[in-house]
Amino acid sequence: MVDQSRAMERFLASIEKQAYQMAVIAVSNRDEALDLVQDAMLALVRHYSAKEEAQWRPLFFRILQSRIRDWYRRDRVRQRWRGWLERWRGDEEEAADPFNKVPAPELCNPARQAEGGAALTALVEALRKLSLRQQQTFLLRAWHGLSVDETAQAMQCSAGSVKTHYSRAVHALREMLEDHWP
Amino acid sequence: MKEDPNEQDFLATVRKTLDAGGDTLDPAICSRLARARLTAVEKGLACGRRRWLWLVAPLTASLVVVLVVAALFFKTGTDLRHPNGETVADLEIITSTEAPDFYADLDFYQWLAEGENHAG
Repeated sequence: MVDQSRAMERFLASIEKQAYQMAVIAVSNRDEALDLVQDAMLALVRHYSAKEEAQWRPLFFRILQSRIRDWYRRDRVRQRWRGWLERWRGDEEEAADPFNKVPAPELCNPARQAEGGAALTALVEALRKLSLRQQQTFLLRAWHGLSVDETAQAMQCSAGSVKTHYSRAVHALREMLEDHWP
Repeated sequence: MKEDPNEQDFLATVRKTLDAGGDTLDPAICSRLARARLTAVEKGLACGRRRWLWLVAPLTASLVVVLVVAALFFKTGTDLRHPNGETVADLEIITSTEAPDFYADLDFYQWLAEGENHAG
């Protein structure tokens, strides 16, 4: 039991930063991203800690994907309500709302980002312009190194869809980033 | 399908950039992530143990109930078989081929036989 707990902790430590970055790119909110990562960690430990260690990685990303999708669904409902309320209250109050002027959260420490983070900022901005499916497929395949089948399992779609999303994402990113990385 | 070497370079740069982003994460975020990890491991494993209890407890309770019911049944069954021999007599009446009226008049026949003995 102690060995299993240590192995799980080691595994989570190895993926937590990547998972957080992936979540923060998807939801553009630090606290929400942290909550999503913690939920995914808890679900993995609770339900799959008895599985083989090799299966933890695809399972973890599958859970995280599911949490991100749920977040988007909730967010859509929130936005619908907000839109309805704003229409009801009028545009003047919306313009006066100070939260509208708060900049989007940065992915990394601003002080260190200034050193060489221009490329990262451009990349994150480009990734955020992709559809959620393309963005997450690209990150799972290109960054986390999941195979097509593992990505399909994580995204709960077919291998064909993974290939399509990935190819479109690469094409779009190369176009958007050609000024930064010719 | 042949892979585009420019695409491979592009992907390598993306990976490098994102990895660098991970290395330069805000220390406050890193510490919150570490806390989240420890909480997940502690809570998750404790919950896993409790889940075993949830599985074992009803099974044990069911087994105990079955044993108690079985013990009560066999104890009552023993009493039924030997309550002063009455049950055995009832069973003989039910299974015999004699008419039920015969058993109803059995006391009368017994009295008659006793009277004849005294008279004799």
